[in-house]
Amino acid sequence: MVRVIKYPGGDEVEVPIKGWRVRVSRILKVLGLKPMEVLVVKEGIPVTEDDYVTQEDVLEIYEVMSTG
Amino acid sequence: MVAVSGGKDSAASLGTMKALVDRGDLDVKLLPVHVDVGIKGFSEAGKESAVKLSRYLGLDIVVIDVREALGLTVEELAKKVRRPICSVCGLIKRYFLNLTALEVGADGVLLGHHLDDLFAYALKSVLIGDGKQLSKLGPKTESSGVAVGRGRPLYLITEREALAYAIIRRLPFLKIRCPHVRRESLETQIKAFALTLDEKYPGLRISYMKRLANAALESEDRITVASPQRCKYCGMPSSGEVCSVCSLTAKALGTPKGPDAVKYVRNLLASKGLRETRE
Repeated sequence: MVRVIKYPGGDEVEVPIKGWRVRVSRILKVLGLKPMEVLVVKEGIPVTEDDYVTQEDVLEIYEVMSTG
Repeated sequence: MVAVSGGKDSAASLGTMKALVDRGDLDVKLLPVHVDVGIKGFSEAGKESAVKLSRYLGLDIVVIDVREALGLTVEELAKKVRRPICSVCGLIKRYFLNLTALEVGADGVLLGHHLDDLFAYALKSVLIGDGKQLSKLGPKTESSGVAVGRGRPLYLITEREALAYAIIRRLPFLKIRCPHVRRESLETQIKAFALTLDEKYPGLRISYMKRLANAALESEDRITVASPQRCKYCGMPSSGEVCSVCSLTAKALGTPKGPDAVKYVRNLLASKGLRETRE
């Protein structure tokens, strides 16, 4: 499971993954999010859709177009 | 003066300006100003973020409380006058930012509008047949008389870049959405369309905004022209005999509240040593 916190709002979801790591693009696909509409952050640093995340990672996903 | 809502865009705007000042690239004194409009479940968090951000950057912030100044919140005012809340909110914020800038003698007001906002405003003005607005969408307007000029430091910065900047610099910003934001609004739809357009034609938005900036900077409208009259109640620049805030508050409460707002802001600024005398 990869823990994901979605902003705005701060809702938390857990995304099941197969294997020990998965690309960010896979997580976005599972969550039904378009890469160009969000910014994915791991440990305070934005990551690209080609980066990998593991079971222990916590991702923050920010909706880019959220006003203000 | 820098308008700070507490959101990511104004965090990026203030953070950038402060970095430029710290590096010695800009020789200005920054004054963050937050207008607390009193939206339930949102404004308190916005104020908290704006205050945290200012502290983080080592700046003293001015927080204007609309309820204290006018006797009612923006939500209450909009309900009483039966006008869309976003229009009332924008009007009230502009009034207090302009009033504060005039009272502290600011050279200009910096806003957090970024490339995506401005591209959406530009497209919207064309779509609704109000192309004249385009000349007002430049990176800055100059002060003229009693009207304070406005600057947009994020003019060529996308919303994604502003967000990434705020995150990388660990700037405090608001992580909840205003309950009054409507996803089906024309501006939101245009922004979504612009993103898909940029995916197919990368750089289209930034080229357009660069050309628009050049055109706007050459236009006569780059100068913030003072309204021809002053409101007979509060003395603020007004296009008619009575300004919009005095007109709205008179409709809602039976008495224009502009004079109370002026008194409130003057006293607030005096208490912070930003203005000499109290009223």
